[in-house]
Amino acid sequence: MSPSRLASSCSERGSQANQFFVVRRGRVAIEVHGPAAGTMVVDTADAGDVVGWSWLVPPYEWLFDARAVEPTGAVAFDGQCLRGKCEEDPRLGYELMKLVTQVMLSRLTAARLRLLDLYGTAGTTSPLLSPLLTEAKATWARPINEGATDAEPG
Amino acid sequence: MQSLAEPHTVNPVGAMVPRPFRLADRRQDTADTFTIMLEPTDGVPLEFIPGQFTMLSAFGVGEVPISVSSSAHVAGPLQHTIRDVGAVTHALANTSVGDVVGVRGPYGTGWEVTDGAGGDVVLVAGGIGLAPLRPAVLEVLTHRERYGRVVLLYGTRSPEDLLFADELQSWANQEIEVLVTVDYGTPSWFGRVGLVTTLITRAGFAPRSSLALVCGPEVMMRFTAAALIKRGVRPDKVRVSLERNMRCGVGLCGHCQYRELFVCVDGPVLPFARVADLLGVREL
Repeated sequence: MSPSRLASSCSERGSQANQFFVVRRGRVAIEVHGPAAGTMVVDTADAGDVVGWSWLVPPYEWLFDARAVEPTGAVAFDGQCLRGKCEEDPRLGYELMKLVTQVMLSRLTAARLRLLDLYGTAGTTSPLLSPLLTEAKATWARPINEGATDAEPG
Repeated sequence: MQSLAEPHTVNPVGAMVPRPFRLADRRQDTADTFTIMLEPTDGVPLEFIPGQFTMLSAFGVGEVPISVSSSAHVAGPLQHTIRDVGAVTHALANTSVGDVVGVRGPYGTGWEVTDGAGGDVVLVAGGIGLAPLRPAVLEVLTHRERYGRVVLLYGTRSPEDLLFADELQSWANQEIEVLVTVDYGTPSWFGRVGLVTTLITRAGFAPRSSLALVCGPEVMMRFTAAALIKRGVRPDKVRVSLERNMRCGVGLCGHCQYRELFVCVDGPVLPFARVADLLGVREL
């Protein structure tokens, strides 16, 4: 575990996730990129926040991009090593999971509330959801029997 | 506070007559939100306390309850910050300088910010909920020396939806800790992204001596109040502003009834402890 200054990009979606970071100062933006939405910042991590959970769960690949948006200092932890320690010592693993789960739950709750588009007007869709819905509609909106010919009952 | 068991003593006839106000100026705050500045045609200013609302009339279209967003202490036009979402607000959005609108009120309870004197004040706004809180912020700034630390936590949808963006910076320069977060950002936004409740643990205030004023969507207020109480703010020191279908403004018509409460007279500002159970009830 060594103090580390985050590069402009500290994680890239799809790459191996063997580390996680605890931000000590500055700010890290968690980003997602999609064809309809472009790049969107879906969360930020400030001092005291943890960046990266993917080291805990197979296949240990980053799911989002993380980018320092201002001069940021963080402590990098060797997730791969910690995983091994947890496997060897389940008590340590359980205590760690309890801590991690609390943070994950608060992040999940916050994400769910933001999906409600609380500050939008009635009938609007969260900007986080609309690109996904657009893509989903394009995929699924075709009539089920498209291309089929009507058959007269015999 | 009054309730159904205590008949309201407002003179309903006088309270139902709108006063004509002329539009002195208009400002477009965001794509769908604007502020109108109104001057009374009879020259008599409308007195109100921070947190109260008025019934605004677009003549020939209808009336709508809108919280006052200007200072209660500084002389000047009466301001309302409005989101263009329905027929009446759309008509108000299309008014021009010189047009006349009707104003009834003010109605309801206020934030009673002075209760926070000697301690810290935490103001938490969600979306357009910053508009009803603005008079409270301005009241604190008028008597800044009476309060300890003052914190404004503001969450909104996107950077483009930030209300009073210039004032936020000005308030920060006047010893108010202003923390802003948005629900989603673009790569050019270097501020915070996340729920407003996440700011509560970051803000610098002493919870046991704090008065907390919360305004925003009900779900946001429920989670915010829970987070404030979890941090240590006393439940009786958390106040929320409810939004209901106010019509008469004097507790007679019942449109804004919220179980035993008439929001137009018992609210809109209420202690969270009084409505905590109600906020979780579906379809109430």
